[in-house]
Amino acid sequence: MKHLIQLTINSRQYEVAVEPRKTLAELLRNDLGLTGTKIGCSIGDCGACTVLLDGIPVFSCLVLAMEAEGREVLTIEGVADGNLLHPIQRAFVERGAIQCGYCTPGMVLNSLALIRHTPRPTEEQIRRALSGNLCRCTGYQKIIEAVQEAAEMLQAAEGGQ
Amino acid sequence: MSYRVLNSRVPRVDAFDKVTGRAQYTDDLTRPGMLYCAILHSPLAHARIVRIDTSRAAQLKGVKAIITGRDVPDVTFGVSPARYDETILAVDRVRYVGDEVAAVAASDLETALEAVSLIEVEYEELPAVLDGLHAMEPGMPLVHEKYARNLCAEVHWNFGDCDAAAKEADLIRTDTMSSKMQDAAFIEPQAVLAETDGAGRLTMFSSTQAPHYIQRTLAMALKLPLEKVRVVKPAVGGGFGPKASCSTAELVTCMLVLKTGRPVKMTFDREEVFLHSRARHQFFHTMTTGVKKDGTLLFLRHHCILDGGAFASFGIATVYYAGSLLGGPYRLKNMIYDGYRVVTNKPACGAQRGHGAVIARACFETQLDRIAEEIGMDPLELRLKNVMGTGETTCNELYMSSLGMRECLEAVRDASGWRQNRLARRSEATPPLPPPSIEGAEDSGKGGEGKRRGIGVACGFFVSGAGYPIYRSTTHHATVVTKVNELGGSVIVESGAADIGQGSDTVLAMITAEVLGIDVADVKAITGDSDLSVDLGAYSSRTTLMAGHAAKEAAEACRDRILASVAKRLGVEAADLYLEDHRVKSRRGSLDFHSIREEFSREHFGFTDLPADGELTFREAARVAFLDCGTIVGTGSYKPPKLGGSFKGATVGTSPAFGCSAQVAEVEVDLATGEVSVLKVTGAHDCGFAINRTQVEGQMQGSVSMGMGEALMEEVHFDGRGNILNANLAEYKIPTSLDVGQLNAIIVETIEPNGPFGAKEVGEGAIMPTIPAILNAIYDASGVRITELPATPERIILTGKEETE
Amino acid sequence: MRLPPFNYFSPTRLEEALAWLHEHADESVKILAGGTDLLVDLRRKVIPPSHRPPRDYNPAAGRWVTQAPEEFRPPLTLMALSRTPELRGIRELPDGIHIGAMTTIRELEESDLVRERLGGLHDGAAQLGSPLVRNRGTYGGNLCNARPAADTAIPTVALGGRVILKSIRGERNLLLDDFITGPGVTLRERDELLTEIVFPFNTDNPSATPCASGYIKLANRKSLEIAVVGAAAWILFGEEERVVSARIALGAVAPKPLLTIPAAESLVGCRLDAPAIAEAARIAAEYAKPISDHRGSREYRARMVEVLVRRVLCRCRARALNLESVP
Repeated sequence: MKHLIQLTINSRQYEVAVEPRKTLAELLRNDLGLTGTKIGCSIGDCGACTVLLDGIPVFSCLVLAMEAEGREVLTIEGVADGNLLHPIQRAFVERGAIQCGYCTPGMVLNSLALIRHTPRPTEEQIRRALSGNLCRCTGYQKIIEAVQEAAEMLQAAEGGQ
Repeated sequence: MSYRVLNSRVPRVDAFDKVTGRAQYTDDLTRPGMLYCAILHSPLAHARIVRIDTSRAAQLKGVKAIITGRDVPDVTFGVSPARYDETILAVDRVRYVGDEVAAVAASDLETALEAVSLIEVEYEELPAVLDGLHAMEPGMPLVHEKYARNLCAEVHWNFGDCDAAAKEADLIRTDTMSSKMQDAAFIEPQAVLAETDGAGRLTMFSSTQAPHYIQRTLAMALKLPLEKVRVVKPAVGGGFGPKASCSTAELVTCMLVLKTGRPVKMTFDREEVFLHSRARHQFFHTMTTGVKKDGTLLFLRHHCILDGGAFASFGIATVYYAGSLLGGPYRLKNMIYDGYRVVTNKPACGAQRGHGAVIARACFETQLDRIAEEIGMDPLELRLKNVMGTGETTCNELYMSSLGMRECLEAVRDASGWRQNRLARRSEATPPLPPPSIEGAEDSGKGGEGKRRGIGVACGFFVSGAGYPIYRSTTHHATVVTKVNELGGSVIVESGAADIGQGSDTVLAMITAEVLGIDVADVKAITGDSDLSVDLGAYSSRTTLMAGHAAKEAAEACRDRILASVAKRLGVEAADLYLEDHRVKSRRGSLDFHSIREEFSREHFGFTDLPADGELTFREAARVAFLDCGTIVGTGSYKPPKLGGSFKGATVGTSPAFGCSAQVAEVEVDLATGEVSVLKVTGAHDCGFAINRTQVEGQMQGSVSMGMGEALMEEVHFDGRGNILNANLAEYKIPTSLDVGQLNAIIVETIEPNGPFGAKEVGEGAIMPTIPAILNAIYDASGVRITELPATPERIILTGKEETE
Repeated sequence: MRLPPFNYFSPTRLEEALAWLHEHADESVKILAGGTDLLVDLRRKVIPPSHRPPRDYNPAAGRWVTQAPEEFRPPLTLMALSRTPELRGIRELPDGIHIGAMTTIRELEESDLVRERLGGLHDGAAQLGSPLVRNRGTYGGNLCNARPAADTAIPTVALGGRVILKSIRGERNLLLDDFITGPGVTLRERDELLTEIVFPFNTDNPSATPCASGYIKLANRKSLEIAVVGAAAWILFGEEERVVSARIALGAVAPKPLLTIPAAESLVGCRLDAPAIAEAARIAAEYAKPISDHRGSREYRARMVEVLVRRVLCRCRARALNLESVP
């Protein structure tokens, strides 16, 4: 029995009919063609499916679509402005923080939330914030460096205004 | 030599797509009307299949096809032709918990899963053999009748004269090291989407490392002509080895496509990734090494049993690598190796980063440290004393066309502060682990008290591409087809090479750009499709060297044809011309090319971005070459020369080049709990020449973090009935960002003569030193020698307790 | 893998939730709090349970046939509490500190009140799972899931926390230690909801008395872990810094969080100095009876109990003396 729900995804209003058992990850990937959110384990162990729910990083594989009703979701597709990359994305690209890329959407979104919450995160804070996002390719080093660089760029931009 | 593009930090060519979520991985793909596949797995480790009844499942609305062992073609396949022992589905017997018994294609995943649960199977359980160490003993149940004593491959080598060498030894030690089955834990599970077209061609998109090998296996197992099978690799979320061989997901999905005529998709659940495995074997090593009291290595006697689960898979290569890659990087004239690759009723193991050489290296490098301690020598100095150099050959006939082992060791020694650290330490005695009750009550639990730091070093090396393909053939290992855009200005590089995250597309683009004097942004790499060209795939760290050579050759062919065209037009010698900075230049001063420019202008009347001044541009030259000759295409291919000795198994371990690595690990051990923090790893890797410096560092850092996980926390747990107890990423532990410390990567470049621009591997050589460097550091900190991996906190405490008792 | 079909009900007021729960008490109902445990448990397994031999299966008995799942499955309903605001909030009231059951683990971690007054609970919240889990997981959910290694349950037991259970029939107030009876088993009736957790001030523990608590977790890696062993302690200090009251609770060494009463009693009347701490730790290690599983052996766990109890008592002392800066 499907329910009609409304939610905002990447600043766009959606109205969708979902069964209660549909997870937010399934809704995004299977129904809305937003495949940037990845599935690594589907039980909340790897963080590949991270999205921001009202600005907070969550496992979309463990959030029912119905629980996201009336709320705002940000997926990786909503981070860049067209082809203009967000500073965090630029930093990831320039610093070599991307190898296979599968953990990247989750890392970018989680980092975005971190910097909004803590504009000047220390290395320790960055490692802690990302400790639920597994990466098997990079050893995290360049990801940490990218987040630090992005935080500095964003701080500088703020300061300049 | 300075290069325009090479040796730089240009961002990956696929970074933009990956960072925006646009990159398409296999599970992101859909087709209208596609069906979903689910697999029925055996719950028993060893059983005869008495009866399968699919009738209830078939009646479920939405089920389109069901296949079982009765339906699969009568073909056995595997990885190595010498050991084909797999069928698409279990035919009369299941051989491990997870073995695939049936597959269902249905209109949605839910129905497929439901149908799987409705298939009724009657099993007659058979005794299972789960212990690899004892699998060869008489009376053990046989996993395969054709593998007597459960032995699917064995190696016996004897180089030099160990007995004579033993007589000269001042110290002889025997040490052991064992490990557990481990998993590659790539974040993207295997996924497949397959379809056929009106001409009966099968196309399979798959998260694979080796489209070419998979294409061959599919064709063989499904009895299809090779030319009717196409394998395409979309973006892949990590491979590390297990994705280099054909999986059941791939085979059953294709079978169901052929049966239903509809596209079919299947994605492994994370648990299935563990059940399928094809990851790291379990190893039991015993090494006896003799040295002179000045530290000169004399001989090594090495005995190894590898437990590879239910099928041979890559196992023959694994058992060879375990022995062959101890022939270096130290001078060792005398080596005996006896290796035994057994089968057991557990998921099959295959190749995983570093293949069979990783645990062997861990055993040897920790033994070297024990030797160093006994003869009173600094372990790093002991290694420096014995390292091989460029131009030397191992006792098992592996030729080091370049080997910067000394440079790597010296680099990490200096960068890590090794000498100062060791000096500070010599004045303290290394304590054994104290029993907890004498722990000081000042311990606030935050650190400081009760924790001790240690430092350890290790080396390793690895092939830069296997010297021979997996099937017996004189095929080229890598081929590339490069086409210059007819309109001029850009280039497309086509190759079957597989970028699985290591960055090979970028490498091919960079090499092409360098040769043609253009930017990476002007080159498009289209790869991973068996239709495009033959490439053996991403395994044995081969892509940069082999596909790189082929790309270089293809680009040079394009360059030569363009320059020939221009030369003819301008009445000059082609040999005088060269490409640089998007321009065509002459070694003999300036060129009069006004006729070309005028024609180009005329042709592009109305365009606003025409070249006005400066030398003849690449764009104009490429256009002119097309006008005169038609489409400019260059091809390149690479086949290693005949390598290695003539003894049995000599081919495995051969390579046109060898990369090498040294690492110093600094750890902190909590002496009361055994918890280990890896504070810093300083690594130096000789990659010959870094095509892309950032990517080389990334591979080094990734290797270290994987090695760290395998050293400290990774193991697949089995219960007494062959069930995996931790088939998920919560209980199978890979390092998180809080577990990995600083990873400093130093690039050493020896300019490998057999590598394109001097480049050779980094993807697997860099994992070799990690486990032993960490184990040696743990010993330095705590006095505990770990000989059984992983070195969990519990193992450290309980081993320490044994040692003090 | 996919979830099974279920109905979904999301009340917006506690009253509504309780009324509904009572009406549907005979049906298959599960409470959806953060979902980080429930949605994992509900997922289809790759090898369906019907296809696994039963626990008492004897291979020597010959052949065995897989069973199909039952034809009839009672419809499952998930009652989601995410929209019921009365279940949130961390407040200090005259009678004690009240924490709503739907408070997320992250909110516990970020709350100054929790950090300053319920140090052990703060420690547990900060180490539970990973940041992503903490963003969704709830305090009430963690307690009702009742795992022996639950990072909020162990310190809550040490802190003497009480759970409030409400139904349309009334209200009950139980010590958490009594509420959890075994792994995954609690005294919650089918029509009850755990609505809040209370740390009462009373004559033993008026709000102004110096007390300190802590929780230490031992695991193989630094995130995403379930404790191999956990130890929590709460100390109430009196005159001359002597211990007036104490509780020590252990995790992952028993079917539920284990209050080691003899160990705590050994501290009463003492100053919290090295010998007293060592003795309490020794008693705790003897008292705990851990099992071996793939996370850790009995022997290691028993040894670690002593180490962790010692450390957590040191931490309590450091906190009481304000020696430890905010972690």
